[in-house]
Amino acid sequence: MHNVVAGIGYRPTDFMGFNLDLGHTRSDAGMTPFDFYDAAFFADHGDALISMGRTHSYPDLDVEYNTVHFGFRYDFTPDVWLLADYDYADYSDDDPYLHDTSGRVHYYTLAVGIRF
Amino acid sequence: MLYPRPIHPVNRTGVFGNRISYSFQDGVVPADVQPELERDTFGLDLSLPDLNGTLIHAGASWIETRNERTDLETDYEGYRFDLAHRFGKKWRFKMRARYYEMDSDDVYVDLVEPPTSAGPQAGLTYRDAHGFIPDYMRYSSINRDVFESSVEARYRFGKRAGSLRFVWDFRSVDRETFEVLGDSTKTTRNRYALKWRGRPWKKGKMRAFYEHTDVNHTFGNPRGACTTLTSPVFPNPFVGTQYYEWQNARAADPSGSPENADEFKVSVTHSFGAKATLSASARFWSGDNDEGNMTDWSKDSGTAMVSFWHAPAESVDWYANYTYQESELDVPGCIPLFDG
Repeated sequence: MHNVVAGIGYRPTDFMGFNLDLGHTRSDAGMTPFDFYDAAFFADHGDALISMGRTHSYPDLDVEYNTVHFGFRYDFTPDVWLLADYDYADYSDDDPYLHDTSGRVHYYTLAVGIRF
Repeated sequence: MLYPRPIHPVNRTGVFGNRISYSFQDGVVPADVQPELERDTFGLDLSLPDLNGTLIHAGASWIETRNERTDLETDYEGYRFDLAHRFGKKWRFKMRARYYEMDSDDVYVDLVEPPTSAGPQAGLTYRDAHGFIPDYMRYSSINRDVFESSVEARYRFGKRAGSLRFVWDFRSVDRETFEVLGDSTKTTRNRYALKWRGRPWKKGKMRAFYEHTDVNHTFGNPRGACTTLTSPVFPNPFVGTQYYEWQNARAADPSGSPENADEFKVSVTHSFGAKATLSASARFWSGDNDEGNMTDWSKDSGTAMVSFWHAPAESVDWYANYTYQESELDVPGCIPLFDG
């Protein structure tokens, strides 16, 4: 697994701030091939058996995950603030099993905070 | 909760009725019952913060917990002792010991055994048909005597060279009835660790850690996997090999706990004034267990990380991290084959 994250924050004034965060993850995993020990026993059962020759490939993992976060905060007063965030995630399944789990998502957040 | 009908999926008859305890015919049965508990606790504590330069804590606890609905009781009795002493400016010594016993009432589990209503075993319970006795005395796996101790000695070299700690942790769990690997009910674990921290150069910090773990009679599931039984094909499940026969013929002793383990960690940080920091760390763990029959597994895993943070101006800061992780597991497996 390789993971890289980086980000930058900028506060032009005491009551305003921006931040940008990027993330990249690459993961892969696999299983070594395996087979039955007593092949002669199963030779007599012919069509009743399903070959295990590809079973080791079922849990193979090869995914890439990228994220972007952009955030903005504005403090009207020390007790009242505005938040605006944008989040993006892109998940790529490069070795799907049964179905492809790849996808993208966008999050938009707008919030007001009041402390009392 | 309402159980379904135990019927054959094709001919829709109740041929499997003697293989379950509850069904649709029992109506709605409670499924969210909360235990009604009564608990009595008594404790003693002694604290001597400075007895000729030695810190001492000691205590004891007695706890009795009773389930008012089932009239079952669990008792706990525990003792603890802590000691710390400083020998001059260089040496420090700490010791901790714990001992406790837990005992829970035995329970006789008398399973409901209904007869089946249809098929070749109509009118018979599972016991009638196969001679299998499902009732048993449950001896609680909680019942145990546990002793834990920790001894630590620390030597301080100086400001730059830092300090070195040696730690020995011991733990013994002696269960009354629950069997673990190696035909025993008692697990003992020893952990030895060396921990060093220091500031080998100006504005730099470094830590290193090594630990070795050695376990005797690891926690696991003796004869819990890999049946050695083979069976010919039978025309129906009523005359064929039964599930309890498959389970009784299991030969492997699986365990997820390591018998031996080694861990090594190191981290280093350098500060470029108050505006930037560079840090790096690495961890490696290796463990294995071949104590029981077909337990043989091993695992190696490692993680490395480097991180940089910089604030070039009061209003701006940025960071970047990279992490690498790798793991390899070698474990035996048994593939159950069943055609039902």
